[in-house]
Amino acid sequence: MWTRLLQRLLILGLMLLGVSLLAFLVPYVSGGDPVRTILMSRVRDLAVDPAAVEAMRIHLGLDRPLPVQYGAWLWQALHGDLGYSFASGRPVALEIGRALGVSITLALTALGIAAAVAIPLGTLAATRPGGTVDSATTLMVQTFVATPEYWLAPMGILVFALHLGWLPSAGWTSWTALVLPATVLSLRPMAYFTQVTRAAMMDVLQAPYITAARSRGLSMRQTVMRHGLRNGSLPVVTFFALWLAGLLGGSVVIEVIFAIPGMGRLLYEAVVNRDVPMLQGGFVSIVALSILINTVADMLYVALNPAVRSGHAH
Amino acid sequence: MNKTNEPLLVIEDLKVAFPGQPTPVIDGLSLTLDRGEVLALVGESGSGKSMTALSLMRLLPAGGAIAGGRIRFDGEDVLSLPDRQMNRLRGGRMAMLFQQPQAMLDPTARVGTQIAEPLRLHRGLVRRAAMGRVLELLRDVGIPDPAVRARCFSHELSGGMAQRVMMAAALSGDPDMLIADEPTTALDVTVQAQILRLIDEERRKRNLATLLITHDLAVVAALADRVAVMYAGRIVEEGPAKAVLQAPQHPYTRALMRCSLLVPDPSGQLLSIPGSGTHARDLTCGCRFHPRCSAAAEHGLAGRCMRSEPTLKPDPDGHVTRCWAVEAEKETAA
Repeated sequence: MWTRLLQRLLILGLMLLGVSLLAFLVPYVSGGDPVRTILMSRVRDLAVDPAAVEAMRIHLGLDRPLPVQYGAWLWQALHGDLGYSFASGRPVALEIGRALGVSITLALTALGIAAAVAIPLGTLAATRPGGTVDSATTLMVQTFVATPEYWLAPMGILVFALHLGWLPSAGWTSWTALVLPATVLSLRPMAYFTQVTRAAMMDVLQAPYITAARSRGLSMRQTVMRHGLRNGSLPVVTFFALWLAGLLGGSVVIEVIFAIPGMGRLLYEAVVNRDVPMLQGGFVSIVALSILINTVADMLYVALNPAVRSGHAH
Repeated sequence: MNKTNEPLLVIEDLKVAFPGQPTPVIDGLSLTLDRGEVLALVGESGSGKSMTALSLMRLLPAGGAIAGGRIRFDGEDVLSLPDRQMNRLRGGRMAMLFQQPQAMLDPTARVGTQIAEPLRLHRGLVRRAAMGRVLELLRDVGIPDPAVRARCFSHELSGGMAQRVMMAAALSGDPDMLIADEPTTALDVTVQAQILRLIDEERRKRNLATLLITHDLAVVAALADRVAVMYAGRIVEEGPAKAVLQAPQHPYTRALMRCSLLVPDPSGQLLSIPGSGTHARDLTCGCRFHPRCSAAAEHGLAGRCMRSEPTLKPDPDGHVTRCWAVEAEKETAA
């Protein structure tokens, strides 16, 4: 158990190192000169003074050879210092920390809603394949998967914020502001979770131990609750982690539409501004967090599945 | 209880069918089983033994349905019981052992919890009392260190240990009937005998009616009072275990006995029944065993065996057989 964990941590460390190199290089290979971009945006002049560009370059340390820049950046990053944003001049780590907090709150709420609906619904659908609930579920899944967020989000604002006035239309001020974006964001994962739960539960309900449980006198409902749910929701844990990692930097559309100061919007703006330190720091943070999330999910999976715990997976 | 004099379990003309399959998997099966009695149901795989067992519990796999006949258990009509009462019967009055004991235990639930389920459902015990009883049961079925074992998961148990746990779970509801569906087939030979002895001890102690499904005639000889031999969804021979084993009548039973001896013939080959029984059910007329039967040709009855199916004809001593050749022999003898 411990050697496995140690092995894993070592691999994760190497992975992170590789990712950091990529994160560092990507803004450079994407073309364009960040110094020019910064100066142009500040002076609003297309013909910037070459001397000023050079001075800025030295000031930002961009005149040094790339390996030196990488080494310095990595060293600082390991100490929690991701440099300063070219665009705002504020510390990257601080900005990212704030944005990540927002994005995690949004993503966890959305995925929580998704799982809370999907697990019971998928289970119900699996107990009567082809029944009314199952058919309705399939329809819902198809609808949700096919409905784009950039359509659903404005519709939600139109109905619940403008027409009914129940919820704020945008911003990040109170928990009520979370309801609409989280709900819109939850629909697609909800559809996938439902499908995954349904498929897993169909398998589980065919398992011999379900027949054995019924032979002890448990009703179908009791059997599903006691012996079905835990086995059937195992794959959802994996999917939950994948989606969580994906949503951290990936809910750009929702964050832009609802004016939420999250990670997606931060990175989107960093791309537009060619904000090199922000892009580097953001990329590394998201990947590091994804790795962390998946490790936690694996550990949770093991905790839920005793057969894996002692290496008897079958 | 003594409502009537009828045996604890009475199966009459049971028919089990899967939609999409042209012929039923069990056709016109009738059996009885009394308290304290051991009835062995013998036959090769696919003959409908397990389906019979699952029909009694009304736990046929999805798609399978009981298409006709009656099952009476202690005077109650099992097939028309509402679900709620059926649940009370399962685990409370009839319990079951299966072929793959480890697969029969929920991999994510502790063994003790699963054994406790019938106690809590049927005996109304609260958690704490149930757990105390679980430890007693584990000790009864010969599991050392019950307190530790009760907290195990199925993958931490050997096959024999898992079957003992299943036995504890089966006994925990204090049933009147035990259905054991090939309880030793998946186990090591050395463990098989231990499990069989356990089943025999417990059924004696508790006067359990036992339906023992097996394809092992040695097991039948050791435990059974009566034997029913199944072929392609039908009973072809039934009678007292001694009579059937010592003087098998149906050509299929005889062939089974020869095969199970594992004695090579003069040419040095082990005996086997030619052909397979898998598609015998699909025969539209005649005896279902006739394509594989040697007696049919010997008695010059091939035409008759091919055209019409024999019925179960009794001996004076209660030994019944479904075979034209046997009937013809008896006529000549008389």
